[in-house]
Amino acid sequence: MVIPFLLPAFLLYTVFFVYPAIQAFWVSLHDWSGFGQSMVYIGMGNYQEMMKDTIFWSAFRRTLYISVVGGIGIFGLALFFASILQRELRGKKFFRSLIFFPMVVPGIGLGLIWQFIYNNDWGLLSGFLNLVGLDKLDKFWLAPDNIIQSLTVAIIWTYVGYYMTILLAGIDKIPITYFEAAILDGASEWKMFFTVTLPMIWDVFVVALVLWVIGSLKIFDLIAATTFPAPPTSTYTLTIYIWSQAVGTYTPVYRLGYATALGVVLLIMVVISVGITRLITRKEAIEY
Amino acid sequence: MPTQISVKSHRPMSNFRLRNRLGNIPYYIILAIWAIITIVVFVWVIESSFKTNREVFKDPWNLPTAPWTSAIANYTKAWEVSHMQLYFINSILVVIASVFIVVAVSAPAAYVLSRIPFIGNSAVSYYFIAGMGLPFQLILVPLFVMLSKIGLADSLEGLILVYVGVSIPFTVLLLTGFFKTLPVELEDAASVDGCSDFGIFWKVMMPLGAPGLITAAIFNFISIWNEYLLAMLIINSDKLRTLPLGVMNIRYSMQYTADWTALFAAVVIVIIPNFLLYVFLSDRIMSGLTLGVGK
Repeated sequence: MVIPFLLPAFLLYTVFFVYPAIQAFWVSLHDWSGFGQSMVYIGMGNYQEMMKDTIFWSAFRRTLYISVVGGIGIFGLALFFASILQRELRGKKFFRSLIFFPMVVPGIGLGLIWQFIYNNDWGLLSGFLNLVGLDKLDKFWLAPDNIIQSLTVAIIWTYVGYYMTILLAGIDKIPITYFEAAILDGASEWKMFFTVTLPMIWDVFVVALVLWVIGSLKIFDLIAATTFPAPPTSTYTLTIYIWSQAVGTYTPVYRLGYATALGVVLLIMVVISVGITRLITRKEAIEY
Repeated sequence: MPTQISVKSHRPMSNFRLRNRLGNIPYYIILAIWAIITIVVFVWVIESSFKTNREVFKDPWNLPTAPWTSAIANYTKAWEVSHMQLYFINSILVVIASVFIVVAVSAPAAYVLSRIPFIGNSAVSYYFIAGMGLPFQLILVPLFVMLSKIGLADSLEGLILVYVGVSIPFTVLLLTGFFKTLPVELEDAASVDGCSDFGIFWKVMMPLGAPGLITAAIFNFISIWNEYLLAMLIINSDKLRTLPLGVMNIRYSMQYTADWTALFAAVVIVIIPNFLLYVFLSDRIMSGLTLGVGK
């Protein structure tokens, strides 16, 4: 029964996901200027070009920026919210659900909402600053100089609930006696958080961090919609750059081989980042 | 001895609660600020869909003067003139078919992987899990070429098959984890009673595993309903667009018409199904999205 039970899932997954992924490595070795054209083998040509491509490097930096700065924001806030919501608060469930909510909204919808918020003429943010008399702080939120910070804020707001929920699920599994013992020892709540809660959920924390690292490098919808219709090349992240080279953000470029090579680099980034994350968070697991 | 322990731990615990109640105020303030920002954002989007363009351009704080007239105009424009109606139906079709197939093929696979210790079990498990790290950006070009070759590019069937393929890794992982938590006694009893392997799967595992299957279905419903990148790659015809594509198409034409209120209405239409689902099933959705992560 093993084969017939496994086969349908195995085939669909292999044909529509794994096979194109493997093919991608082959395509990335070609120059290919459109689906109607034929591929020209150029070996590592695409990768060599990438090394000299300033747009690639700026996209690379921006992608890492979102991953690192966004990650610090998200995990700082997620830990903070989790430590609050772990307490016996009234309305705990309401706050938890509300903070999580953006996660279930389509990225496209969120991106457009952020585009509205950041609109300088009638947007919510500029409107708020005017209302409270801080118009001096108002800027062109989606101008090339500010775009990556604005996107990072939007990303933190969107994803914090997800990671908070993962951390809370870990916290729920800590036996209550550990906290009771800490209270008997006279530990303050914050001390308890760092000496009991955080060490006890370390493995959950690491998994959450790995998920973020993988997810953050792949964020596309939110960024594409916020910066729609045509983000300047100086504001590309890797996912947007790949899209612009493959099928086009606005007007297609049709550099299919190059786009696929960028996709391979994205995969390599995912693998390396996960490796690094696991390395720096390595710690003896606490058994309980 | 046990009573002594409970007495000992009882008093500090109640002190802890008391201290908590007084000390909670600053935390409430922080939570309230976050909550207010989130609520204001969504309320503003909904409110704007009840305004005229002139009112939207004025500033975000004024209230709509003729909310119902504006709303009818905006929603009609989005729903009928901009074809959201059609996109909605396409999305429903794609999501239902994809979710059904992905759960139907992943459940037996997950059952085998969680229960039968055949040679290569862990290798196959890893093979499935590996897909969770693969970025969709990697497969765009080869996938489109393949779909064109087999005549499934620019078709809902092609999109459905691709959604099934890319959703299998997470679904198998989630269901494998879930099946492992189910007791084996019932299966053993069924097999002693002479039930076949297939019989055990259908009559014992499926009913027991229903909560897991529902969680998997909800998770896939949301992620496929929201999906944009692959849909944009595969679908080209207007009449086949899914909702996210349709909304972006409206946004695209907005550059020329500057009709923002219809776009606000379109965004509300996209969010509402997820919102309703979330209102009724937030616990299940949260646990589904975070399942397989904790211990």
